Amino acid sequence: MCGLFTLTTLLSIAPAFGSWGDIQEPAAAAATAAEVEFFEARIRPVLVERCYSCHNSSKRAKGGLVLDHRDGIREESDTGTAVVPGDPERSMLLKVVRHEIEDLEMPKDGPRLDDEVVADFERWIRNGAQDPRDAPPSATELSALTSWEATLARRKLWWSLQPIRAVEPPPSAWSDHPVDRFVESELEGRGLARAGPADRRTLIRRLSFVLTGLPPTPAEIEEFLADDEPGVTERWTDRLLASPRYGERWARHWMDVVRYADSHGSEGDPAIPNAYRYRDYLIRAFNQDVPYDQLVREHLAGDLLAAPRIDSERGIDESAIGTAHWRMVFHGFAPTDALDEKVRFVDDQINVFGKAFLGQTISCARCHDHKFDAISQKDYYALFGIFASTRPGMQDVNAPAMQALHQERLGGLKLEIRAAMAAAWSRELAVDAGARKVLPSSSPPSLPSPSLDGDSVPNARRWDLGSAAGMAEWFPTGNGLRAGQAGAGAFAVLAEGERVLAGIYPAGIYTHLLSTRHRGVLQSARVALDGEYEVWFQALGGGGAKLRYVVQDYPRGGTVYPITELQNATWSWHRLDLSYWNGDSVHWELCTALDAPVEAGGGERSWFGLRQVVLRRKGAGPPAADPDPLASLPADRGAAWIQAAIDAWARDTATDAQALLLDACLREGRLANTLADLPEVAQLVARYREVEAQVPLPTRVPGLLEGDAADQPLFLRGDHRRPGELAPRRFLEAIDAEPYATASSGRLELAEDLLRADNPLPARVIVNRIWHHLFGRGLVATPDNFGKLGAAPSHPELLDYLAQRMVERGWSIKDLVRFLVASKTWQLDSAPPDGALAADPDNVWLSHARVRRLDAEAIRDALFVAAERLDPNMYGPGFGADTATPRRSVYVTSRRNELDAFLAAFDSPVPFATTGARASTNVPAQSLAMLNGSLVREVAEQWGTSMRADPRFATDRLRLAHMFAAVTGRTPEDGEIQALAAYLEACGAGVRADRQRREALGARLVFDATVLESVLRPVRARLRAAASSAAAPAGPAPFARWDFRESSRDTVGALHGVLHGTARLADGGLLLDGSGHVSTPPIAPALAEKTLEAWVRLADLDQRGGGVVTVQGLRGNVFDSIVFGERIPRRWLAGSDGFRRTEDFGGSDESLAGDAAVHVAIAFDADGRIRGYRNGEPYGEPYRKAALVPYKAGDSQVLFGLRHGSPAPGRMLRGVIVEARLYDRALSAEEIAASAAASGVVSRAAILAALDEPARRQVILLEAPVAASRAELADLGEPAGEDEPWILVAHALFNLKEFLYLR
Amino acid sequence: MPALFPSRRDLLRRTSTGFGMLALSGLMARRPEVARARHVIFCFMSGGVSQVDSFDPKPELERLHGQPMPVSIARTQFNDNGNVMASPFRFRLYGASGIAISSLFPELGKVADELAVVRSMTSSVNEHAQGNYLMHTGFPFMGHPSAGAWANYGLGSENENLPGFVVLQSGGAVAPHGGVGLFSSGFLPAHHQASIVAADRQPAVRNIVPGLGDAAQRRHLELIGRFDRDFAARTADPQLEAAIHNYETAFRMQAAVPEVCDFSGESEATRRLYGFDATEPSKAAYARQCLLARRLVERGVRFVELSCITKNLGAGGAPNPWDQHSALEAGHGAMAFQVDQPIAGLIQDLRARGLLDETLVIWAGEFGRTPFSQGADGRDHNPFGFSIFLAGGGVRGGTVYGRTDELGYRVVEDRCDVYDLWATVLHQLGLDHKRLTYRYAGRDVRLTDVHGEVLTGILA
Repeated sequence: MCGLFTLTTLLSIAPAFGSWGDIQEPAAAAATAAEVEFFEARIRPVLVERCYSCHNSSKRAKGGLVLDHRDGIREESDTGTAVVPGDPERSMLLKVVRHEIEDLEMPKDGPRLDDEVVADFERWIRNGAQDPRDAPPSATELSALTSWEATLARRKLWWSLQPIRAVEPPPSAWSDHPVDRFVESELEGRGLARAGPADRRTLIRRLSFVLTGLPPTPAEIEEFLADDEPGVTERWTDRLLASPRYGERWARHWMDVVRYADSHGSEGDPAIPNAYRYRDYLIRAFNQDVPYDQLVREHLAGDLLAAPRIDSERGIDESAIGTAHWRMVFHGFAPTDALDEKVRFVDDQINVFGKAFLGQTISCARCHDHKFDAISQKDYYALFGIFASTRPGMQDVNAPAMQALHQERLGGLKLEIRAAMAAAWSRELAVDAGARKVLPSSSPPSLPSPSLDGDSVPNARRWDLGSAAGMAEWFPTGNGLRAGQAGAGAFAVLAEGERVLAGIYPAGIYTHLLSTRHRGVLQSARVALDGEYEVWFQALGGGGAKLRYVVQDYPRGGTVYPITELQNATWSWHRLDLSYWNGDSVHWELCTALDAPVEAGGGERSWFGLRQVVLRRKGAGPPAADPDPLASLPADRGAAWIQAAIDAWARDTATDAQALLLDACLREGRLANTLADLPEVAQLVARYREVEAQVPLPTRVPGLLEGDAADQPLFLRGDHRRPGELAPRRFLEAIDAEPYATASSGRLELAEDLLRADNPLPARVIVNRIWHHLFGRGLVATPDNFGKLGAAPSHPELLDYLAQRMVERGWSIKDLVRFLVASKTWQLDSAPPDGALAADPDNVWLSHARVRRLDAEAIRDALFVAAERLDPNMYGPGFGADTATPRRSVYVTSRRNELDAFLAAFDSPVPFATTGARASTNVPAQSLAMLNGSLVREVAEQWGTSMRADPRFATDRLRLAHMFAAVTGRTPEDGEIQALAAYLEACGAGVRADRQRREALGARLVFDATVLESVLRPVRARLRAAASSAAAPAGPAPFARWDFRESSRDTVGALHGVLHGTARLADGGLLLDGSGHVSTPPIAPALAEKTLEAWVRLADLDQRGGGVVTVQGLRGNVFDSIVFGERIPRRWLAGSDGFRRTEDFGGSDESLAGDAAVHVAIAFDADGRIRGYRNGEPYGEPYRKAALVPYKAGDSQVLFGLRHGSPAPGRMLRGVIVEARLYDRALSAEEIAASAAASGVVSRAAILAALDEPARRQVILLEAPVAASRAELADLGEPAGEDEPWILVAHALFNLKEFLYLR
Repeated sequence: MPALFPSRRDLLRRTSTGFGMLALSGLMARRPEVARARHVIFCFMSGGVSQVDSFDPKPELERLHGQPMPVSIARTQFNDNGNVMASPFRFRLYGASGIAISSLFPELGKVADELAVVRSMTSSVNEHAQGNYLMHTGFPFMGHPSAGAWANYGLGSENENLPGFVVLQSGGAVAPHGGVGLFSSGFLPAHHQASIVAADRQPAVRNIVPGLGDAAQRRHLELIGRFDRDFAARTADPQLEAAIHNYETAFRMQAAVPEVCDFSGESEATRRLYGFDATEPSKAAYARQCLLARRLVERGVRFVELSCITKNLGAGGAPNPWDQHSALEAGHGAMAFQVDQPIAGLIQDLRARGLLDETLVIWAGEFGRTPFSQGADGRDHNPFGFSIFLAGGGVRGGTVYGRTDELGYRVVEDRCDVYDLWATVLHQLGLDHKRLTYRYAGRDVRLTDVHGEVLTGILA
């Protein structure tokens, strides 16, 4: 009775599908048979699975407890008696599984048993603990029971791994729709009532949000309601499915599944370049209804498909883009343990792969076999081997024809150019025929190979990219490398300029032989470093091409991951020290500028060439350099040698040495290489360049590059320092344990295995995901986990019916969506029928529609739709977080370290793992974002303002009704419109009252301030006069000085200011309104250390980034400036190009400069130290970030009101510059203090001190009301305009729950 | 509070998502014995403080100064390893317990008898972002809940008008490397995530300042409430009532946050104690954080994390101020000057107010620094052994726990890691770290992963 067969048979009916509610409570004596059956079905499997391995008769009996037979389980052990038949309370087994005894929580190392399982045990014990296990199992039996094979066999019986069954929907009087028939049968069986159908307004709103993520406009609602032809809902479903908005909505759902991100996180948070193209691919794919099986294939191996989807209109290979999601992993910064980092990011890939496509938590099997599911540790490393056999990289998804476009023509033109040049050179050299005859023996000696002598380390190696054999261990990708190796004499024609040839090259591999618009990534096989090495590359390149070693596929640069930029057009050896990475696995990588996997940079045109790579013991020194070809020319026969090389080159038979000789001749001017000197090739070159300019630029997308594939050893207990046996690359053994016979990674095979007919998971998982998005909760409530710890399916037959239907109908997602929303179940009203809330609080049985809060993107998008401002432009790079840019939220950039705060508040997921079901929380941060946040306010302002003046509406009531409908989807009732109208009126009254209050305050302020000023002015004037006369000798002498109270002339030298734009002299200085600035002629002498000084009043303290006074190079790209509020609001800053010399001083926020001029000075010391001063006192802390910039004589100038360069928003100051000075040295703190004092900055304290006691009291008395009025005015904020009441209505409407929730 | 909102009691009665509701797992994790601490103040020393220059004196370094390291050196992040470098700071024994503290922290020396110094902390990663994630969440990458979120999840809120997990910033401080994800609730419910509060500027909290005057906002909320009540009645869905309740909470937060951030009621003596008006701006800014931390704790906030302010010395940028790959003496000197008095003041103030017993203060960075130099005068990252300290909250003051080797390079005794730290902190909060779990993606996930031993050796 205790054989495995019986057990598994029972188990197969036991799990989730099975309901044991129909077992009757047995009468204690008579029902033994039923109790035994209960034991077999409910108790024994748990004991075997969760207890036997530690508590058995053969090997281990932890705590002296044996649970594998009847006597054992009833025996008294160290801690009591496990099972006392009939007495649950005295049974220790129950106590420990209930976790009632500290440090004896069982089962160990796993979650608690489910409450139902515990209840089963309690019932079993209470009913006498019937136990047919007379004897302990033998060691063989036990190991058969507890071995992985037996465990796997048991676990394969789990519901989600069972074949999809063909099921007939049960009959129903209510509906013919199969979905309804399954649902009805469950409702009926449970005696649950059902809600009525939703009204049509509710329906169109629901349909629109669920399908497109956007609300219907009031006009669309009316159109829908006016259509009373049959099939209206189906027609609107089709219309919405055909809308491009559908793809934007459903792409976002899938982006949650693959944890879409635009950056890698961690220190530096570098961008994943071009990640957005994957987002666009998803949008197109959903809109085109690309079948799901095809999407799966593309996600696994879209770059490897024999017949990819080519979008001929865009000229791209769509399929290849699907692989970009593999790159959305988190990467650390310069990890010292590169293998640890690799294990981490491959684990991330496996985690997402398993959850996304299979609903399996494969990642749980990294350290040991899965605790609950049919996944072994070997499964984990089998998949690890597949993904780790690829490398993170950049791919070009241009269609093959695009990648090859014009290559043939360019190749043909090159031959013509070569012939023409050879002819021209020959004419010029004029080597006579006699000499030419003896030429074959007159050529330079062949080149020596770099010696490996002296490398006693056995692994010293050389790769010769010039020989066919040398390419065996390299993986070239990109159209620049498509032609493979080039023989000696390869050459490149320059795409612009007076010169014709870029160079003539020896045999090697090159990306630019046809065009620098071509790209290339050249990677080597892996090299295991077993000692201290250095590697040498004989390479050339330009335009930002990169060279590096890659450790354990880590894609970033930084500290111990150097990246060399190739900036040499002639051959040189580049050395990289590898000794740090002793013991690790590395490979070499050269790539064109934008083709680095991360931190790519540079222009579109770049190129490289590579001849040799030499790996040798560290310190062995450089391989031999090429001999100088011109130096070795024999004096008497030099021309002949050159001529021989020309002839060979023209015949395509040049040797490496001849190619180098010709190249040297080009560089040294021994052979003509300019259009002027080669009139006969000019026309050919012009044609060449014309064609070359039409070579399409690559469309780069992150992806995986295939390299040398290898099986992965298991890591014992997940420790990457302890490799175990190899796990051959293959799929999960629960489906198929056959290793892949492939030299590639195995991704193609994996894709096909995923989709094979006997793998039921992908269909079930995707059907459930779609159901989840349509109904708000999956038939399996845990869409990413179909394992033991996931939820059981509420309607398993329905799930299978839908899965089968989907496969049969070609995996069409739109077809399934259309089918589901056509059901009466989907169209139910959301009001729960009587008793439903009590009987089924989670609405598992679908008696009514689920009320859902809109998700984050839908809320943000709906704001713009309601305001009629949504920008429908699709695709392209994302836009910055938290802006009121009216594009759909799917296009918001997802930077891991600065996720959009608004979207995050509404539960947009953190992109680190598959999120098939978002949380839907209620937190005050959401209320605050809606009530006080800038996004909602800005959209409300735009909407309210436009509505107030909207000519479509004759009356305010019509306006209000429209706004209400735009937000809620329904017409307001009378009471509602009255409430809105009353609110509008009240707001209008509020605005009027506010205006009156302001006017009164303003008048009082003017009066009080005038009185106060009349007391202060004479004192201030007196103090200023005294100070200026006293301090006249004390102030440091400026190099230039502008007193804008008088003029813009330099009162010291000749740097007279010229006014531009709206800049003018007014309000006691240089008045700048954001559209004007002042510049000076060039500063004659060189300028290094210096001090900038200004007295400035600001128009407002919240402006950002305007420059007060600047010294800049004449081109405007290098500068030092006094800048206000650029990095941090209200802070003074020493501005500089690219912030190269800029740090926050850490000074206090400016609070005075709005009311009165403040004195600001920045001193630039010779050692690069920068000191800030405000009103004569140090401002924050000095710092040194970079060296001082010296400006050359005659090459710099001074600007006022403009940070640098030419006028642009964000650089312009708004305020009044009273006076400014430039010093050609760094003033000391004392000098700056003296200057501030001498200039007439008269402090309040000084004035008060100068007054007699009654006057002082008077001033203090007068100051109070002035300050109070100012404070009150400040409190009132910006005066509200006429639009304010409408803005407030719009804002209130956005805050309605009826806006945020979908019924 | 506007009358239009239902009372809190009504709400809790009617919904299952009330604010103060405690997670079931939180209840499960509660230990029968009384918690020692109710609050945590986490002074995070972002960038990595050198143990041999702060709390772990190593005379051997002076003997070997300038000589090659006598033991093999593991990979360092910059691979610019120099010779043994003695500490430029002098150590002294402080307090009755005689804890050795360097001249960087004279003020902390005055409260030495409150400190439990752990000299045997280790990390498993050697770079900032992952180290920060490990330190905050127990996992070296983004996505997991921060310790503050776990504490709130386990214990619930004491003051529903203030967030339970607060990260303080001032003086231009920013989130450490890794970003605000370090303070995330991860997969825990969102209300456990940290709110970032600026201790020195307005608004202190994002979106906290109403765009409308008081009367206008009331009018606004009344209108919204009128519609919302109707809508909630029509739909009969409990989540709507919870959402309405959130408006009530948000409304009160608008007043509660400015109140707690208003220092005007603090005495001159208190301000002096913290260095609130220090002339050195970063010290004054950090003092604001410390004083605000006390005010928050007084009002029931569960977990407060403080942020250091960069001095731009030796690679210590805004996210990693202590990261002195060069100019260690100047950089550590300036950073220690910034935090020494404010933290010592905080400990004394908490003690004086009787709050120290129930408030656990943690001082730690993400790793230590090498005992050998990087370049001429810096130190590289060292995860193999570094010092942290705890104070208050039932910790046994005057304790030194664990030991590194003679060079201060690797732990040789009582090795512990971040899991032990958080196991201990949760223990003091009355939570069992093994039971404080959240089922996420098929796993019952813990702050301490599958590790963690309570450091009983430092507990009273």
